[in-house]
Amino acid sequence: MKRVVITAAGPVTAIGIGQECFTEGILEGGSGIMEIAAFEHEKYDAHLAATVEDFDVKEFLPTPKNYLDRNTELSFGAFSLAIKASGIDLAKADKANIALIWSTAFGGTDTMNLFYSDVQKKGPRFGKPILFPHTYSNTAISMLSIEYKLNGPHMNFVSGWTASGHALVYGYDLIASGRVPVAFVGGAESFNETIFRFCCSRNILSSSSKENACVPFDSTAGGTVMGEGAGMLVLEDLDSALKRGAHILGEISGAGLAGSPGGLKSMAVEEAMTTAIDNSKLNPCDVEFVLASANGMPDMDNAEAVAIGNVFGDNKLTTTVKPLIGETFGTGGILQLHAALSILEKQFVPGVKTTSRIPEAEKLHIPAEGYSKNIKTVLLNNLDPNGNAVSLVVRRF
Amino acid sequence: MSETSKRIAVTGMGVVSPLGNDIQTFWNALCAGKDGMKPITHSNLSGFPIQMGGEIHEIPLPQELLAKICPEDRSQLMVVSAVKQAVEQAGLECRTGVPPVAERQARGLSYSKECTLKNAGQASCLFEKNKKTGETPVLHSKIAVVLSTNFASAGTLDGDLGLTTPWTKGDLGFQTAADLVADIWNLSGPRSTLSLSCSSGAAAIGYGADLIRSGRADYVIAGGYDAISRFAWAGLSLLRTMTEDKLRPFDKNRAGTLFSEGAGIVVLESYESAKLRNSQILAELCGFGFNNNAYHMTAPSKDGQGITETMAMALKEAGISPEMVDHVNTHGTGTQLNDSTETAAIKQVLGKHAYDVPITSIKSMTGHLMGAAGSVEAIASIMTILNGKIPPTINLTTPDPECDLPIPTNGALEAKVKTVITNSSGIGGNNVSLAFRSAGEPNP
Repeated sequence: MKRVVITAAGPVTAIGIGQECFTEGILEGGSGIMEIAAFEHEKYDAHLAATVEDFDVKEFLPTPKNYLDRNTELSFGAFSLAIKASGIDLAKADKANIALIWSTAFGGTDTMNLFYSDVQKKGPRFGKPILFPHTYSNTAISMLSIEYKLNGPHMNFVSGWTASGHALVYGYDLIASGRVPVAFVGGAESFNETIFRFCCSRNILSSSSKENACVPFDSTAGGTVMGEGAGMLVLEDLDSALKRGAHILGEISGAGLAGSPGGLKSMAVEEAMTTAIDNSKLNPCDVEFVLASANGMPDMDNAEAVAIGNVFGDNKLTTTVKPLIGETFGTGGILQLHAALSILEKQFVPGVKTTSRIPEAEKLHIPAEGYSKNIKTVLLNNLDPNGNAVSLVVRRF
Repeated sequence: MSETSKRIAVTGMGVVSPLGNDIQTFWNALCAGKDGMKPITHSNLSGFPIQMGGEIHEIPLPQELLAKICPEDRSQLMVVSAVKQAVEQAGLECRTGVPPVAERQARGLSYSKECTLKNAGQASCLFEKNKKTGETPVLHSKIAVVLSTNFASAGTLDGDLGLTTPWTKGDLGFQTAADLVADIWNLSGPRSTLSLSCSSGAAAIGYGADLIRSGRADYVIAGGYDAISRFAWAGLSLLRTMTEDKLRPFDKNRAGTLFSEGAGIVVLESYESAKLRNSQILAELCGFGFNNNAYHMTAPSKDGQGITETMAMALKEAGISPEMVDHVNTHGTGTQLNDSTETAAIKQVLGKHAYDVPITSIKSMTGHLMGAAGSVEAIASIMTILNGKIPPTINLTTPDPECDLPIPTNGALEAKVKTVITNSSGIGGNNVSLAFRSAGEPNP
């Protein structure tokens, strides 16, 4: 088994673009949740989202493009930031041995809508041929491959809210098993009315005011807030990273995948967490801190709180960054890992404001305010309301 | 934990295709050279110049399963039917009982305490049947689901993706079918969905094998699906890949492909697991190559470098030399570029031996099954090994000098086939090659 380390990160989020700004955003604790500006939202019950502002894809494109879906734009942003931070010279890299693994839950929905509207309103011959290839959920990864001539192992996960968690675990396994020395693992989720409307129809969004819209582990929570974002991590086997003198941000010591039928149950979260800890050859007491997936959706938060209590016992230090960046669905796991790296770098635990804790979370130690703490090992969760659970253990190197 | 050398057995298969909705009917039609292309009737394709394709009719499912499926979503019907066939063939039985935790612990397999308690006495779980001894469930294991699709539930969308019409029927994401399978069979393993355009189905099988190798699943239900929809047809028509003629892979006058719908599912497990429970090993999945051309969104590179490399990766992982390949089940879409490029790639990998290796394209009969193509072609490859017959490529009447490898055109070719490679490629430049060999072959 190879040791797997993270040597670069490229978050594009509502609280910051680039790992430095993102980390700053976590330290400051200001939320990226805002009233929706992209479309008229009055007809819906929910009115807020954590969208990426001040993002100009032109800053991240090596060559100009005629058309890109927002999902692909965000992907280019994350890729470009992470590659720049990694110090890897792609012109000289052995690209056939670099895996590219990408993820999204919804893909290019903006373009699907644009393309299909023409077909439905004007007729089949009026669909724009240039748009159709951008409707695929693998458009982002394909365009990255083509732009950067990445011809190595290539995989695109669309496993709902755990899509990026599955991508990360696959990247980890490919390196740990010695099949590739380097994996670029990323994902993106864009914000648009199509996804928003769908989420409204599934009653997963909070209709509360900004201050109370995303309150994980709180009994007043009635849903979550949609987030937008993208991220990419450069995973490398330790020897490869050391050989090229890379700055190591952290080590993934283990990972777990699980699922429960009929919706997310605590048993799935428990199994994912115990597998990740076993994988790491650690005991639960070695994990100092849990970065929860909790997002204000009552059933999910309950299941996760119960599972954390069952695995770690009482008073486990637990927090979540969803009140800052929103629920970013298919890129949630990637951004969890970005946040874990920020926490390990700054030795800082973000706070979570709750007014009335749910009973299941009473026994957890959830700090209301952020504070400094010496942390070596973080376990992070990435969960899907339909039952998928992913956990990773990340350690300071 | 990871064992890249762990051998992977295929112990179950299920298919829903324009040629038949069970493995034997499908196989008989392939060997008989039956053309599955007909005018599409289920989907509203009014206004489209080409309306020929491969359509699914009368998917047999018991009422208790039908009740769990969104009736408007034909793709779910296809997936559930194919999974049911594969699970039954593999001897994974759905029944009520208590998962035998003690046995799981004895085998060192992971389990959930809560699962056991919650499910005690009332759970309907998949049990692995010991095929020799019959009824006794061996143990309750981690069963993962890996599906792949290009268009998921797009067939249920009317209007413009729900912006102007109420969103009551369809699902916007891609994960619904995988969750549905986990719910129906009460599976507590992870369930993934992949989307890699038309190489999706093969990618699901390759990734599924990797989940077993890495110890993340004991069994994997893996494969692809896609349904014809107005949305998909609108885009595929505009790409100018469809033909008004017959689908003629490798023919000099080939003018494009025809699309179809279906699902192909396999059950994967470790070789040791299959042996332990006396299950029939249909074939061994011994190689998986996957990459991207890194060239163009909709056109393959003319030198076929991408698919050349995935075939080489699959052979390397299998530990077999090019001379050991007996047959290639091609991507063979019937487009000018694909078929000549793929032929060149096969020659590059197999060298002179390529001229001794019969190849075929079952797409000439099934049509291009989109996200299901790779997994249905994997199933055809395994049936080729099991039956010693290579299905013909139909409609090939004018040989193309650029596509000069041996191709059976006049009925199925009887041949002893131990090792098969099957190729898949897709929009965006993805390629996947899978290598299968007959069960019982020694590990090279």
